Amino acid sequence: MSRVRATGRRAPALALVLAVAVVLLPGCSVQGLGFVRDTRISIEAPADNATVRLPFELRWKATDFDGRFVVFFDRSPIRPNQTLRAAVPEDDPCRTEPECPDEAWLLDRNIYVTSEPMLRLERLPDERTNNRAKDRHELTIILLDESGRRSGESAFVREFIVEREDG
Amino acid sequence: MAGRRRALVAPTAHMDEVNGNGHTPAGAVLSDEEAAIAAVDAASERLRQAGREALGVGGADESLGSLRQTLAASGVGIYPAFALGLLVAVDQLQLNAMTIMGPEITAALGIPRPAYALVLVLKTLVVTVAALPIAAVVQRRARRAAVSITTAFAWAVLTAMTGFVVSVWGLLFIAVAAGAATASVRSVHQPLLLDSYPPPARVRIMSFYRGFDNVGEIVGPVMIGVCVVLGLTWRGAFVGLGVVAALAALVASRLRDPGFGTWDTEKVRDVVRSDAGGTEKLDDDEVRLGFFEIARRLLMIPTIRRILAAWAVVGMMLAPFLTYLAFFLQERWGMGTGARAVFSAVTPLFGIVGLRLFGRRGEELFREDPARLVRLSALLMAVGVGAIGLAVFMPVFLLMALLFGAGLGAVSVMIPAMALPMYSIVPAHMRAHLGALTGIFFTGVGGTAGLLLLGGIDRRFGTAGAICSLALPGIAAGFVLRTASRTVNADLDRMLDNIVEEEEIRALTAKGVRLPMLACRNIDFSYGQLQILFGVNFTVDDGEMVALLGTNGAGKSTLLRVISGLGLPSRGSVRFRGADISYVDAERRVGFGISQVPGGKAVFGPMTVVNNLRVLGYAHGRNSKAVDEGIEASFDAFPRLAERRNQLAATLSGGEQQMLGLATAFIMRPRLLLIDELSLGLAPKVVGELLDMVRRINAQGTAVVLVEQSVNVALSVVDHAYFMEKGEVRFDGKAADLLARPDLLRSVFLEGASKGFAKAGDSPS
Repeated sequence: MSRVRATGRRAPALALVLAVAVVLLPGCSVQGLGFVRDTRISIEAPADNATVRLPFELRWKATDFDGRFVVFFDRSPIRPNQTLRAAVPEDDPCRTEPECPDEAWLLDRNIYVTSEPMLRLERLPDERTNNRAKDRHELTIILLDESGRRSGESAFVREFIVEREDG
Repeated sequence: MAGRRRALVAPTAHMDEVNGNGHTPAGAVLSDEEAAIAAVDAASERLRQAGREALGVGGADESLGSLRQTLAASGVGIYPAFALGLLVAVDQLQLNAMTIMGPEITAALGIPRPAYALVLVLKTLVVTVAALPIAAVVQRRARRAAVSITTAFAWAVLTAMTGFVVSVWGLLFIAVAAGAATASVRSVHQPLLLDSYPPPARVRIMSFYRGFDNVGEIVGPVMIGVCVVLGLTWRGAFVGLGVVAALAALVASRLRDPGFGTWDTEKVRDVVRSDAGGTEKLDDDEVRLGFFEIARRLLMIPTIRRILAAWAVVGMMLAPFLTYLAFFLQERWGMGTGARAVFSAVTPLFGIVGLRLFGRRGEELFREDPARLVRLSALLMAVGVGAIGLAVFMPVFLLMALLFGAGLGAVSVMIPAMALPMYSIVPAHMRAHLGALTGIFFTGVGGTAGLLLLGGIDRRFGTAGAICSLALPGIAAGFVLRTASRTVNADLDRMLDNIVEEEEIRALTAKGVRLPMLACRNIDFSYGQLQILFGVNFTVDDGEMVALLGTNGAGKSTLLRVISGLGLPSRGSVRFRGADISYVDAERRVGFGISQVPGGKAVFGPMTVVNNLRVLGYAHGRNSKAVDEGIEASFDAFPRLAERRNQLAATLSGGEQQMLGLATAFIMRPRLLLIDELSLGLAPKVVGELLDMVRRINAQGTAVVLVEQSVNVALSVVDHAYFMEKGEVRFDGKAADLLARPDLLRSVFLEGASKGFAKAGDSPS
């Protein structure tokens, strides 16, 4: 009887320890994580959820940063500390090239690299699933360090709508 | 005729104590017996009524006090409901954070959106599935409070740990672990809440608890907004939410489990105990059901089946609704993330108001008639989804928002309105399983179907079309739910009858009354919609041999299936040595000593004779020595089988196959052997040999039930006989007395005669 009681008392503690172990082991860290919002970049245009017509200008203000910026349209950015090569799928022929990915490859996938805090966008694929829907897009700006790796995990996201001729 | 109709006890028991049971010869002092049965009926009805009042049904003429008064009278505070409510609100915070901060998380970690969506889907799946093992953890011991507290601390830690994730795998592990922890909300919270409060407070308490769910929906986006204002990233927000969750868990850490059915089923038991004149608590010696047996038992309750079906349809509607609502607000009204968060935070207010208004009225309705509460929940569902469907057509934002709010509010109120009748018709220790099953039906069945269905509608008719189309299954669910109002009272009475019977058995045992080996009471059985057995009572005592006679299709074989566990009754009980085994698996019943020899197909044809016996022995855990001894005993009894020991069973004659079937009794050594259609298609000489063997098995102490169409065969070996016709027992008495009932036997003889004419050469039985 006492054995049963002891097991009963141990069970919750054991469950707690296991739960913590399960999450600690595989994918957690305590270094280089951003708990406070990064304010080095502030997107000026377009405003959040603004409607724009192509071509349009994307502008942002950067403080305390003089590296390069990468803008991803409608796709997730590369992971922290990765180079842009990580955006290239394993089976893409581009991988055989030493300069991969080049500018053309990136532009083809709506990824833009710039040192200026602005970007003029000429084209963007139509994302509408039906005629009644609006053509919604999302852009994400990340920072590249001197070695071409993503600097930290700061990402600056903005949603906007593109007004189409037939919409 | 009604010899052992009410039999719960052995024939040797004192008649006055056991409500007129025993072997009364057919036709003897019928008026006395009927009077005794009427007295039993009256006592049962009185106990049932007392049980209903203990469950909070009835007593509508008494005024319903305020919640404060009711709680004060019962000596229970608001703390358990508050603590559990706090936990459910915190659960909502975490859920909201994962959804709202999804874009930030994916951008920071560089995780593709589909991968993140998959993580969320997996989490939902884990929440749904993990509720089942959590129910299994609490099914034998009432430790629901400990489970709630432990899992609350676990998910507080996991929420905080989300802020330290650096990869999609870490996120997946955390989401799955957090899902497993939060699953306790589904299976444990409401059953614990019900057992913590007396019936007159339950609707209001459950409404109060549900209100926290809505509060969580409001506070979640607000807290995330506060985190943004404070300049925290999603990591900081999760750490902050983890701290809040830990504080909530700390507040809830004083929860204690009051035990199963403290305020309802135990009260009913008390009523029966006091009626029996004894107040001493008896030992709990019932045969406990396992996890799957409980799940199956629940699904056999008509009201539960209907409610779960309705719940699946609600899931089909509600599970994808929130996703579509976000897209609808974005597309139709151009609302950004912030505006949508405000909208999501305001609409639950309607639910809070609705729950506040509903509580007392719901309590009154349940007292008057649980069916009325079920009908109200059906109405609320139909109105709720109707309002949501209508909202998408509104040209003015305010009208749209009001209709959405009203619709969601009605659905919020519908949940406790449906939950109380649902939980009340189920024994307390099975309620956690029911909670888990509702999750399976809501998310697993309904949610999946909804996503599959709505994807196509969305592509063709847009988001508004998808939301509007949700109204149709919602209204259908309302109709399904309404049908549950027809069965809820009968199911409530069945549960009460089971408790009453259980307590009667305990009282009889305590008085030293000897119980029969097998007692089937008021058995109903159906194949789908076709009812086969109607209120069958059937008793077998230790070492007894009884015949079960009747025409073809009378329900004899079906009754055997109910006894052996191959079929489960829709009403009534099967007791073996006093223990309720009505819903115990057939495999476990073999372990208790119940074995069945099915008519004409008791062997594995492709196996040899000796392997037939050997496999049976090993399948039931006998060791080699015991199996070998059993086989030798079988061959001693049936020398013809010994001669054919290496022959395939399929090549044996019909009589030899029956011998092999009977020989299993030497391996299994059952306490009760059920033999179905022993003589079917066999020559009289072979039948004679088999009957000799049946007598020998019986002489060794095994009770035997012999199902036969042949009256001559059956009555040549038994003292006691039952005669069934059209699913009812028409005769229960001495075999000799049955011979004096030409009105019953004529049908058998005529059937036998017609068979004889049809098959020239066969003699009628």
